[in-house]
Amino acid sequence: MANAGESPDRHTPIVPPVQDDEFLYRKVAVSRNLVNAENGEVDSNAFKPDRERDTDGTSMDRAHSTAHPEFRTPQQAGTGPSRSGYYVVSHRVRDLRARGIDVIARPTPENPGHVVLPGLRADNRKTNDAVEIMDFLARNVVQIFGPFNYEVQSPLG
Amino acid sequence: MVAVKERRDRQSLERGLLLSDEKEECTIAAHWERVCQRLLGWLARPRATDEEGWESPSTEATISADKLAQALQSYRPGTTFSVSSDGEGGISFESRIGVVTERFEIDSTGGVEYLALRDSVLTERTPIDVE
Repeated sequence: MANAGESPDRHTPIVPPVQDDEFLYRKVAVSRNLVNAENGEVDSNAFKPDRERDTDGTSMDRAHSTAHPEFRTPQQAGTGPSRSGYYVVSHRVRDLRARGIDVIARPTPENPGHVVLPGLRADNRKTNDAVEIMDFLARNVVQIFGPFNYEVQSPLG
Repeated sequence: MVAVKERRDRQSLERGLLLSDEKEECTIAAHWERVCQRLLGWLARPRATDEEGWESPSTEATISADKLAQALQSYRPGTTFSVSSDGEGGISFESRIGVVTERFEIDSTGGVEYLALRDSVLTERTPIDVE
């Protein structure tokens, strides 16, 4: 099941295959109201592929660890243009693969830990398969981090 | 003495249940009030694009959502649904109880679809009329 992040060009880093015991991060803008940090519930729409950007699969980040210090921390994963900041939700790779959800490494020069879920793409986002995968992802969040990167500094710094 | 104690216990229990019911009703009423406020916010700025490119709901979707919200309050009074923008001009209502998920998906034209899943496997998917 593991997929080597093979370099399409010499500028893209070669990274080790995604292992079952790794965690993945997905950022969700606070302004979208898809994460309820109080009760731990995450709406399925948090995993909906973007109809223009996610043509080869919904994006996630491999989690920073002692084995992979080059990958992003939750705070680094929770960066982006939204002024309201981001929650970051995590999943276990093993859980996804046990459900038949592929995880493919797609490293970029800026983000060596970038992965995609090819079963959840812009072109199939309204299909029954996509609905089921989004529900599974919403139900199997391991942890919610953040919110991070508010325009106004959060009390946690 | 035992009878008095039992009566007191029963009264206390009944009072507690009554308070619990009232509290639940207030919580559910507050939930639908928040939903209403969110719909009004979308109605004020239909199809606005946020910093990430996600689009807020269309006027047609918001009108359908209002009708759906009223129907759910009447026919499913004890169930709360999280209400969110789908990022493409539509709105989703979602409820998860145990292994069952129920979703109402409203597209940008105002069309509504009902979906039910059990253990993340689709068991029903059908268009519905909220008129």
